[in-house]
Amino acid sequence: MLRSVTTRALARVPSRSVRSLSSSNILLAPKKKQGAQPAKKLKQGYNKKKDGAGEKKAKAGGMTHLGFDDAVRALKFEKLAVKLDSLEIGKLQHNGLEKLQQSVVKYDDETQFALFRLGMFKKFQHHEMFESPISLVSNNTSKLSNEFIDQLDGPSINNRVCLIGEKGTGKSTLLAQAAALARSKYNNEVILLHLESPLKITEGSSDYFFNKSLTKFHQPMFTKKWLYKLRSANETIFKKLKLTRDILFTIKKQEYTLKKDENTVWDLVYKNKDFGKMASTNAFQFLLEELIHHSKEVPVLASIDDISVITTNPNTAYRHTDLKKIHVSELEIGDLILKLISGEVSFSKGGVLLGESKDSGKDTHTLRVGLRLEQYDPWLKAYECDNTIANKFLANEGVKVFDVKNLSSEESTELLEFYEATGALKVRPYPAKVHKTLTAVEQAEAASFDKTLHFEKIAKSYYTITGGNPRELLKSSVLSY
Amino acid sequence: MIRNSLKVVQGAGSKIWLPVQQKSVALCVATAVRFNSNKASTITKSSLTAQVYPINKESISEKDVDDWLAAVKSLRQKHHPETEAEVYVSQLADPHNVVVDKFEPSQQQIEEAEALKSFKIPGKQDALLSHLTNLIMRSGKKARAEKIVHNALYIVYLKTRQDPVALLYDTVNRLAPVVTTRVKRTGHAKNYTVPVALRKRQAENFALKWIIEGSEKKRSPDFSVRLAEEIISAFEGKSAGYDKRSQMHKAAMTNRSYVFLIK
Repeated sequence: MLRSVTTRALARVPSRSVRSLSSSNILLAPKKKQGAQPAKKLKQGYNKKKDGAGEKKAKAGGMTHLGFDDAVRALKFEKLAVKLDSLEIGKLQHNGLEKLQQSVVKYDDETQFALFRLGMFKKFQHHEMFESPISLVSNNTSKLSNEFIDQLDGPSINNRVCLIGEKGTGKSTLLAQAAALARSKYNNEVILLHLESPLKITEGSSDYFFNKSLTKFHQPMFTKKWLYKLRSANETIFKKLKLTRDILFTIKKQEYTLKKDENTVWDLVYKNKDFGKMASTNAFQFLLEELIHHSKEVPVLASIDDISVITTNPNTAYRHTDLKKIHVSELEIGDLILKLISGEVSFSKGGVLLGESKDSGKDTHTLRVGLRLEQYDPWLKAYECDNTIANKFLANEGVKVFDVKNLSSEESTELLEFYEATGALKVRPYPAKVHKTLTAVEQAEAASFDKTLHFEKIAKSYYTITGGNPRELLKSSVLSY
Repeated sequence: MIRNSLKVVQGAGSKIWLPVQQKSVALCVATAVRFNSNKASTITKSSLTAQVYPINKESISEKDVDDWLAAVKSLRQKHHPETEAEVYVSQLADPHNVVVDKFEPSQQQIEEAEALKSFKIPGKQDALLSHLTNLIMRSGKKARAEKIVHNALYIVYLKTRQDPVALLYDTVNRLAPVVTTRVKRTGHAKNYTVPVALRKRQAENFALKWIIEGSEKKRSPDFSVRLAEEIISAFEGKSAGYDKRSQMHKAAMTNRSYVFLIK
């Protein structure tokens, strides 16, 4: 028995350890745990994982992962805004536009949806401040109504207008107002062809291939997306327009025929999938011809914002097989834009409205020469002035110029009053320079703070600072604290 | 000499005098008649110079030049111009005597100016916002820091629909600690942790720093969005700054027996 205990105890003594005089320490040491596992061998290999690499990272909290510009648009802050019904503001209408002069208006619900789908409410216009998009009926609005909207009964070749003006003066807003006025005038029976920015054609984000029969480059991905917007905005009117010709197309190896005087334009844009197909099709040209045909009864308003994108950089990001850049006129939609500008594509009833942009990089002479605001200089380089595009603007007696002016003093005060009524603009006393406890006199002054009088002061001040530019007015009054 | 170097070029409804050389006449004509030249820009009303010295001729003769030079010479000799041409040239030489612009304020303007004399020029920005801006500012880029603060307060307004400045004051007042602790060095073995009351600006400094620290844990790549989120959560009482505040107060309470050491 004793021998067996001794042999077991001796077995626990490490054989290669330093020899000690006594083995009692080893014998009295606590026993090794039964469940303890020996250390695993490290796996050999190149794709080693670092310690803790497999563990999930703690997610950072917060409302959004977006930056400021996108966050204010994406977080749907407009749902938290003051209800506009309580402020009793009118709706933008063509009839009685004089009565709405110098007043803030909102859009009709259907029109608002159509404009929203077409991308007419842009970033940086800060529509999130209010329940629904609003705009001010200014002198520009009534002038455009007289010069452009009233001419929509005539052919579009005689009704081509380009809005120019300084940055933030309200060109894009005026485009939206023009579309709303047109819908109001024709009781929503008007076709809106709006392109929010030609940058989407030229930036190279779409796929593209050459159509030999058309001798133009198709951009199926862009065309499809644009068509979704157009059909969504013009659904009611498209459903009323009957096709003038039969059309045959294939979906998933099955042939479909749309018959004339039976099917509508809506059927064409809804059922036909050829617009986004990577194949040489004439679907878009067919649609365009249908719209031109129907423009005898239904006016077509073609509007293109940020037209400076084309005039400043007509060479797109797409390239030929020899790596030369493709000119915008070689693209199917780019060609359509230029034909609309020149009047080669003309609607029997309608108009073409263009909007200049001040954000399209380096300014060139093309637009100025095309609008006869500048004399053509034959010594200019091709990249400084594109003759092809300038001539398109000059063709058929040229595109008319509409200079968008800044707001007047009364108009800017009206706009600021609206901001104040919705709570966006806070009228508070002038800030103190330093932290301090107010004296009795200062407390009395603070108590007798006249909000109305102070509003008049700051309204004048903002008008002086901004010169009536709506963008600057917004920045200095609402986006500054 | 002068006569040889000048040529009349007919183009776009107006005559232009151009200095030309013999070989480049054709080129000069081409550039003078510009493509798409604006007809509205043509001069219809003749200027005073043209009235005094008419030059609507095919070419300037030697006699015209001699007359001009004689007129200039005679003008230099005379002190008082007599003819219309002399008066015109003398006015060109000394335009200050012609245009006399004197401003005389009206009685109303004088009263307004007097009333404004007692008016103190207000501060550019609120003191608390200025403090926050300066804490955010890096490398002296104040405009950038101001933009971050403005954008953050705009988001705070959009989310809460309240005055963001008043909201920030309220939040900072609630978040700011009242007391902190400092180590009193005795020079011996033992140092004392002593509670110290904070002034208003010091307390606000703690609160603002905690808000900025808290904003670093948010997701957005934009500092203004992160800052707005943290201000909103601090306003709602969810900020980590409240824990720091209570810890600071606890430490002060623990060491309250050393308050007498403060001088």
